[in-house]
Amino acid sequence: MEALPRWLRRLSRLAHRRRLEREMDDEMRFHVEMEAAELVREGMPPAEARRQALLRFGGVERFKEEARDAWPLRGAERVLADLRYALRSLRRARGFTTAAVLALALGIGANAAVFGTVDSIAFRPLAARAPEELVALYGVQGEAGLLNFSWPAFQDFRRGAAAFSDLAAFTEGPVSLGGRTEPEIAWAVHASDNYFTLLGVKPALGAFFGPGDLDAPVVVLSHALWLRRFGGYPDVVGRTLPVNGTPFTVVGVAPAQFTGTRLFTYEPSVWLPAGMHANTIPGSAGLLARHDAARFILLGRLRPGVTPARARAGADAVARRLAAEHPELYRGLRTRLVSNRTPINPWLAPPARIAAAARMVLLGVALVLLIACADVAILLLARMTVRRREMAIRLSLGASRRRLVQQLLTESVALAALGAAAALPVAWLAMRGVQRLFPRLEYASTLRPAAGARVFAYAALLALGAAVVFGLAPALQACRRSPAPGLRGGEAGPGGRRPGLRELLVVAQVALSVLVLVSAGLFLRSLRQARSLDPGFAVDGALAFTLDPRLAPAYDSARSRLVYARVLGRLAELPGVRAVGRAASVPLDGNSAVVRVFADGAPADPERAPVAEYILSGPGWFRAIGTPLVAGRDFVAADTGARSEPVVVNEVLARRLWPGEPAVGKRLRLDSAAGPPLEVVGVARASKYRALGEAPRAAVWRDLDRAARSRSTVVVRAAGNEAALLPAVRAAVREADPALPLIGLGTLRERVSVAYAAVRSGASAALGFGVLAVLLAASGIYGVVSYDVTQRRREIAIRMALGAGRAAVVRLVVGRALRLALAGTVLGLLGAVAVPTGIERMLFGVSRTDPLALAASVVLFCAIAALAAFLPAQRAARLDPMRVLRLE
Amino acid sequence: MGEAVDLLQGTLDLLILKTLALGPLHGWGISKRVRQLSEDALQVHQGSLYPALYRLEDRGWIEAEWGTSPEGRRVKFYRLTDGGRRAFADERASWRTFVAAVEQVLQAT
Repeated sequence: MEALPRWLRRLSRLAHRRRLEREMDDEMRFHVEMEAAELVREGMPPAEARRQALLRFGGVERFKEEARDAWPLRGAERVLADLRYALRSLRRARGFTTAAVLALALGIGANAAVFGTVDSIAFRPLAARAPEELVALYGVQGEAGLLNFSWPAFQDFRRGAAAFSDLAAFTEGPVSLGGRTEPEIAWAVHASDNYFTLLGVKPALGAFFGPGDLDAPVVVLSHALWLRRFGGYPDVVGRTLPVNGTPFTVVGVAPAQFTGTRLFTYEPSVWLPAGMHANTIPGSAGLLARHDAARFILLGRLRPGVTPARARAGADAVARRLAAEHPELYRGLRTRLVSNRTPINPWLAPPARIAAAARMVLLGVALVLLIACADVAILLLARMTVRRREMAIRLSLGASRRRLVQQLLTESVALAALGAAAALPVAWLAMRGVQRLFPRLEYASTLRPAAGARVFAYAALLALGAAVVFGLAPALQACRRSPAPGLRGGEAGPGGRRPGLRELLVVAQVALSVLVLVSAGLFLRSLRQARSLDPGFAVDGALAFTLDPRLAPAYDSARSRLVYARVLGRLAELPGVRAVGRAASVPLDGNSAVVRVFADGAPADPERAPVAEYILSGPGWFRAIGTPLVAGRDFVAADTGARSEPVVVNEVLARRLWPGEPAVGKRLRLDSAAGPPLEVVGVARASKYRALGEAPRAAVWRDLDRAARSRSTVVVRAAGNEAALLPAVRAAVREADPALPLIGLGTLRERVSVAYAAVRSGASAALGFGVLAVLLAASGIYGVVSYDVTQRRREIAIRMALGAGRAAVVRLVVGRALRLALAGTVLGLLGAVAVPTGIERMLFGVSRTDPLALAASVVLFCAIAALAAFLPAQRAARLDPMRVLRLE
Repeated sequence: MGEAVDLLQGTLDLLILKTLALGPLHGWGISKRVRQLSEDALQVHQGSLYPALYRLEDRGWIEAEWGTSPEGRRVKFYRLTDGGRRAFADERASWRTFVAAVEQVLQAT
């Protein structure tokens, strides 16, 4: 009979390991008994016969072990046994395990959360075909960076830039969806007909609009809108959805992972063909014909093998042709490619700044992980010393060093696995915290960090790496030692007080935590600076909300004006309201536009014309927003009908255009030197418009009541507490027009929170890391000191027997810990001052060597170190010297 | 007991296969048979027999079966498989070649 296949035999043996073990015992016992019986038959006394038989057999256990080795799958079995042993010994050392798992959970959890967030920002590619070929094409001209293009310019680029296999154009804005009752204001992308073809996205349902559909009244829904508004039913294709009151036919649904092509902006709910702009974008008459309506972002797909530099050269050639044809608009125009797998909105978040922020966060969290690993290594080392006797016994019983190292590494892997498991809830909580760091915006943001399989895999990988890193040191130390001192059970080997690996680890740990702590301090100082900085308007004490009468009930401009007059009139009459005004946007809310300004009498060169923030505001705006006028007056209701159009400039623009002369009464033109003349009626104090840290910028205000724009933000300045006015404001608007949706009603501070977001997020993240780092370092110090106390019981007892008081013992122990902490702190400070981390770019009005932040971190850290050392020191002080000395 | 000779690496397997080629035996039986056949010249720690047995079993050259000894005790009998028989022939041939080669070297003048 042919035997079973070998692997089957092996498996069955592995499964019946216990029985085989017993059978092996039986078999060997039988052998020895038979041998002894034979010797008895030969005349030997039974006891001697048994001894002889055993001698002839040899070392039973050794042969058993050899026999086990002859068995298959021995490796797997050994790992299992090691694992069981590891878990058993971890369960026994409960305090150690808890501390180590906690340290790991914090370190790995924080890392997984950050990875999840960075992943959703930076690594998750745009949901399109070959996203690496996609670039956004912007214009640069004179001082103005990153300009959008007009539709005719888009056509020129599309025809002329051969480096692109195709170019698409899109612009974004709000639309109202649904009928006259309860319309929903949603963010829309108005795109050229080749937009989806160029991206290569596949619809989740139905079809997209494509080449030839530029003027078709069709709409593509986002996956989220489809679920929310249409319950995810597939029969939505072919149905009618009114957009700004005009019926559009739903042709398809975008896949869930496609949320437009830009990060850090609103998430689009619908995509519409740009040719329908007359119905979808209020006040956009002639949008596709006018060279001066530069509203489109160009999205290009590079031909395979074409470098961005070559593509840009080609685009620049087109720009030069444009400049030759329309010098009043395009003189000096060049192009810039924003090459990114996920083209972000460069206005809101310059890519370099985001990269710097991401680097900072990753660095911080990596430091936290390192500190956690050092913690675990310290704990393991301390435990090793306790287990030295166990190791020594195993070594002298013939266990190979390799085997011991294997066992110890298994233990650290088991520990890491526990840590990783505990890290997942930590990561989940941390990610929820991270989500709250993002500013709340008017529409859903495309930025949604979420935990998923990738985060899980990352945590697991991290844990494994950490296990090997922190498990290696104790394992190596264990196998370097000779077993003899361990067996004698004495104190550490010769010179037990020389700084060992443990001390070095603690110093490194302290240095890293001080580094993190200093950064946290700097960010906090920076946040204080930002908060106390005068932005040039009164951030507190006002409410803000947005109205868009042309979208929702689809009023024309004349009726919109009437609606506003009614709303503002009612609000002004409310008790507790000091001033009311409206403008197209609020400073620092992230919605800003620029315009070129031509002073009458100055050369009409678009390259040299100053660029100013372009703000549309109505009468009473400056009082409502809290920016004083330094000369002249605000717009008044009578301006709307007056023959010459008034304009307000800020002091920066006034100085630039008419240095040393009064600006009021001067004339200027906007956009091009051929525009209509506008008369300066007032000069406003400069404020911050885009970012808190910006250099003073020029700004110009136009009368909103004259412009065709109807979307505007109303600011209600309260005499007292602004939040108390909320219900009254809501009621007043509803009374004025019940069909008008109130968009984003809240405090003005909330409205501009996006400007504070970077500093605030930085401060929160750094603070989080700082707390983690300090906790972990403190537990490291605690571990080392309490181990130290255990090791030096004898010495301490002798000192006490010789008359040292308890205070002296505490001083001794705490002093030693403080020496370690100080060494680490000095290193950490050196690192904080000298290591180029790029932190200064993230700071606001604070130098990286800010003495207050540095000193505060040092004091705080030393206090915590002393506290961490104090507990074991007290334990040392309570020792009974006589008992200790008698015992050892 | 005469002068004991340590076994060469690998020869224990050959001896086990040889004894089992004569008929199924339990472990102690194998060890006793080896001693008898070599007239006590080959001395092994009897325990080292067992790892060898398990190794051969894993290779599929021998198989074990529980039976009853003449003394009425449950014991494990080992028996050569067909593969074991072929392996024994191969091992014996290569052993003989090896011995002949060593002898030839030793006889060289």
